[in-house]
Amino acid sequence: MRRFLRESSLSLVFGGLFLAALVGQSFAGHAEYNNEQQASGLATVSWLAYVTSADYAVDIAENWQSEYLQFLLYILLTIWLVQRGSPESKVLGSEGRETDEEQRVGEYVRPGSPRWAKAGGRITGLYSRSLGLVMGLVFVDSWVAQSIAGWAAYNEQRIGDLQDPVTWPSYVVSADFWSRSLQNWQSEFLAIGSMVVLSIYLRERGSPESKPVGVSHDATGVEG
Amino acid sequence: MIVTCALLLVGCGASGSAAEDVASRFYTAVESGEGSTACDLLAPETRHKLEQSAGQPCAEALLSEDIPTPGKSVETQRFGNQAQVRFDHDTAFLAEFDDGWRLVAVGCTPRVSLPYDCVIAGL
Repeated sequence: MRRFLRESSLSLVFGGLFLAALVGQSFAGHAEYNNEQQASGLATVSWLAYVTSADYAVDIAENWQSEYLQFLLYILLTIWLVQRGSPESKVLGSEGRETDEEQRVGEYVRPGSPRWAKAGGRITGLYSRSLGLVMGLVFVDSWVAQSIAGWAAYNEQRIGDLQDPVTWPSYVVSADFWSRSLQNWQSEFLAIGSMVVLSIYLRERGSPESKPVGVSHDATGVEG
Repeated sequence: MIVTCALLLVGCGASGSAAEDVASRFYTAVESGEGSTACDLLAPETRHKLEQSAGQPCAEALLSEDIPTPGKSVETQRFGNQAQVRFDHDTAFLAEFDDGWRLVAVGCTPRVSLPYDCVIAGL
């Protein structure tokens, strides 16, 4: 058990932080929602009613979709795009999907290689793209969820403002939907871009996200 | 799975029949001259603003307003705690309170790119 905790500490800590932030968001969002209700002379709602509302759902979904889009693009673009000096980049000249030998698939598997790496054919092909596929599926799924929850929350507000509600097709081309999407995307792309560039020149001793302190700025694809 | 949860939370096409029922009872009370019954179906802020602007108790003020005869119910749309009920000749807006749906605005006429213009409104 102790070994499991130590060897899984990264995922466990981030999982705990995620749950704590999600719960914290529910209380802060609940308070904000009820403040707005009271200001409009409307009834406040219980915490349970809030966490099962479209308002809460859209705030979660719009963040999730942008995070998974960020990782989807990061995973895919780093196959073909490089950045001299960044530990976030592959070594210059190794752009592309690489050879079977470099990727240790098929006849080049070693002891301990995943079973699907040796299987060959479509199974290995699918497994070879599974990370991007799953990230992409979660992105699409959560973006659709954002559109549905956002449509409901938007219409709740429109009716409260004595305006006609809109259809879902109208909502997905609306300023509200695209404002929510783009405001999240810009921060994700900025974060990745910052990491790619800052890690060329700055160091964090002991982190695998950083080059070793004494490695040159020109060294590419080297991690600590 | 996330989409399914979103659909469930949103209550995709959640029924607005309770809101429609309250709106219908309101118009029936107004047509019957039952001002007090109709006032009980108004949202608190709407009732307060009516009394304030008319300088009269709600029951008297309400019956002196030009509230149209609504006709048949055409469509009800409900999202969260808000609902819009459209009739042949009128549109009403409702909000859900602890004791049920209440009318926020009635006698509403649509305007292009603007909120409805309502005979009685709490906004």
